[in-house]
Amino acid sequence: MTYVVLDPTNEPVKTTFRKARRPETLKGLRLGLIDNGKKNSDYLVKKISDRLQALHGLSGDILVRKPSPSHAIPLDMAETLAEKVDLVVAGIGD
Amino acid sequence: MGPALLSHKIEVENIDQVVETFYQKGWTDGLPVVPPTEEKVLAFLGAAGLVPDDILGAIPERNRVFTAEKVAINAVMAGCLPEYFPIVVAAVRGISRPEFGLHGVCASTAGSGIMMVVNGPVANACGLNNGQNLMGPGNRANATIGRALRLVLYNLAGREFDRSTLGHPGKYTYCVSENETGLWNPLHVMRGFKKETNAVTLFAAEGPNQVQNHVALKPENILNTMADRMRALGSFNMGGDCECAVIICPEHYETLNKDGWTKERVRDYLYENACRPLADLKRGGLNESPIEPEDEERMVRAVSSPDHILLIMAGGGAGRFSACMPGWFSRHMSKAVTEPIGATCTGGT
Repeated sequence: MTYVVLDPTNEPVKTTFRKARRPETLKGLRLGLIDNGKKNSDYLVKKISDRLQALHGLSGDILVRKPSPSHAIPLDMAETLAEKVDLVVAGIGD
Repeated sequence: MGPALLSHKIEVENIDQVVETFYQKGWTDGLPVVPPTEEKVLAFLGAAGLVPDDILGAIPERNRVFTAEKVAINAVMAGCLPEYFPIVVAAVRGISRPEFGLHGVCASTAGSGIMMVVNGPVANACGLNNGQNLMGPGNRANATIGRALRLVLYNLAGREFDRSTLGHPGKYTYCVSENETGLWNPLHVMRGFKKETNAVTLFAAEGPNQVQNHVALKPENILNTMADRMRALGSFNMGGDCECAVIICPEHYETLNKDGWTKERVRDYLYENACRPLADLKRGGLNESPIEPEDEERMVRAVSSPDHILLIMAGGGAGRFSACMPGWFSRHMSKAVTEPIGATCTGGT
């Protein structure tokens, strides 16, 4: 006698992503920084921004803080940031 | 003959091979599983009035969806009976609500478990234990309903995301019900449901911190011991702003109730007294700024509202052991949720 059993797993739902166009140079561009809300996250992204400004001549940065580290950035916050900056540093973890 | 199931089918020689195959594929929590046959999965779906592709929830940060069929497969594997399935369904719906913050709860290095408290007539109808050895082994409903939720997280939410530093045994199963025979309002009533409604409350929590007090005969003194445990520096209740579950055992309940203490009054007292001076947090290393003289008087509470204490009465009739379960991280990231259990479930509405 054989048994037939069912696979208990699933797969992520497939979605199509379009990669943002990469700038050819960072000179004069404004950088967006997303602080995920965890301790020192703001410090870390600011450090990254300082290095990029020193090395590549960014024109400045705008920092936003997500309300929760474990939730995606709210859409209105993302859209507002996108209107003001040319590129974004979005992902940090611990 | 039920509705067509969509899952991939695996043919095996015997039950031993099912168990070993599931181990090899990484589909278990480390314990053997009950083979999820088509017949059993259909019986579970029927018990909850669901069709296979009903969507019970999701974890959007991971693009993962929980269909009724897949949840039923995992509930069968956990050892549930069909009549337990509506509770599992409600639990999956509950943890999928945005305010529960499931992605963080089951990814965080903090390693919280998901505590489930089942209230209403369904708890007794399903044989859920609210008494002796409340959180220990030996009762099928408690063991398998909680286990089903963990298998759902492992097999459907992506076990590779679980980054717990330590985890805790409640991550195998963490399901209890409340002793509703006393005069206190059950948890689901405190959270806005009618007493005859069946509901499950879900809470991301540390393991249980047992609190013994065999001496105190004054309500305040029982609760002072509890408050002391709730304000431990190493929990997120002091380091963050989260909720805390509290289980009062029947002997402690009798003392409190005899002196006229309601659940509301107990929560208010714990809210007021589960606190410590800011200076303690600085001395204990949770805050590294210099201690100012006024820090000895500035109190930091374990919870920011009495409503953030999830209080139940449960446990064996003998022994003066209660417990608290500190929460995970912050209410900004995860709040306890209470989800009604579907009308098709046995034992109530």
